[in-house]
Amino acid sequence: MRLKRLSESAILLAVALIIFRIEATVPMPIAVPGMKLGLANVVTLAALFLLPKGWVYGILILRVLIGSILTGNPMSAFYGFAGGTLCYLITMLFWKTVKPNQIWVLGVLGALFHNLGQIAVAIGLTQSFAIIGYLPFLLFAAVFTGTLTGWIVQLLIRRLTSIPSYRERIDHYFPKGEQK
Amino acid sequence: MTNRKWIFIFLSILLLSLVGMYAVRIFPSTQAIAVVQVSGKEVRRIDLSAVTEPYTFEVMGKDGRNTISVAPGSISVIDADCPDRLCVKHGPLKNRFSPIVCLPNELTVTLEQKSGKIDAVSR
Repeated sequence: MRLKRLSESAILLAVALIIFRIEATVPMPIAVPGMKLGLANVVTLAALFLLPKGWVYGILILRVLIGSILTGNPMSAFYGFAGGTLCYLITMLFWKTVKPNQIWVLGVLGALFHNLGQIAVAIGLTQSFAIIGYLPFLLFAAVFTGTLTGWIVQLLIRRLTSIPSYRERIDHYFPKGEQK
Repeated sequence: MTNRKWIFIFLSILLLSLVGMYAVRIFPSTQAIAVVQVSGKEVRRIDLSAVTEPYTFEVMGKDGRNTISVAPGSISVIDADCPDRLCVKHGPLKNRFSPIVCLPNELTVTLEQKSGKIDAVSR
């Protein structure tokens, strides 16, 4: 069982890293530092339904660490840790209260708090409070990118529940009758 | 919580961030360095917080000349011989998000944060 979890986590981490790396090469139309789609959060969110919480956090931290090396920007690890941890915490907080057709909400909440953490670290590292000026832009974008990533997870989970072996694992989180 | 409530919350955040973006436009960032570029090449770099006396200077652009006025904490294009004079209408450069641009002369005036570390923000 433990070995299965380990291999599943490794696969999810690999998928997250690939998404993260590809995303880093996609230019954003608006030049606000730190703005990105956050598609790698799809993996973290989906993993919540498949793996124990500790493993999910492990995937997240390793993705940030290895991702920062892969993109050649080790400093981004600091932003990633703060953003990722806040994102994880808020997702955990609302995870139980959210219905299967509201998984997209987790995406938005995660994106919003990821940006809050990122800005907090940026202010701390540069000692320049003016960076807070980026916050409205990041939050504005986060509502849209978060809806996108959360919605992808919602579709993914819905599809996964049509595979019997996954259905058992995911049904565990959603009481019967609330599916769909 | 219903989907509708969540949508309401997120729409309010959108609205608030729009207000925030507007606020960013109003409040000037005083601790800034103005960078004047022509065709992508830097021609002048002015520490706006170090300016004590207002002065003007001219920049020869690709297609004509722009007159730039510098005052303590502020920089603006006050005259240009281009047809649309959008750079003059832009008024003083207030923040990093709305640089002064004169397309005919390929001139841009942008603000840079004094501690140039902003480029290190996570991608």
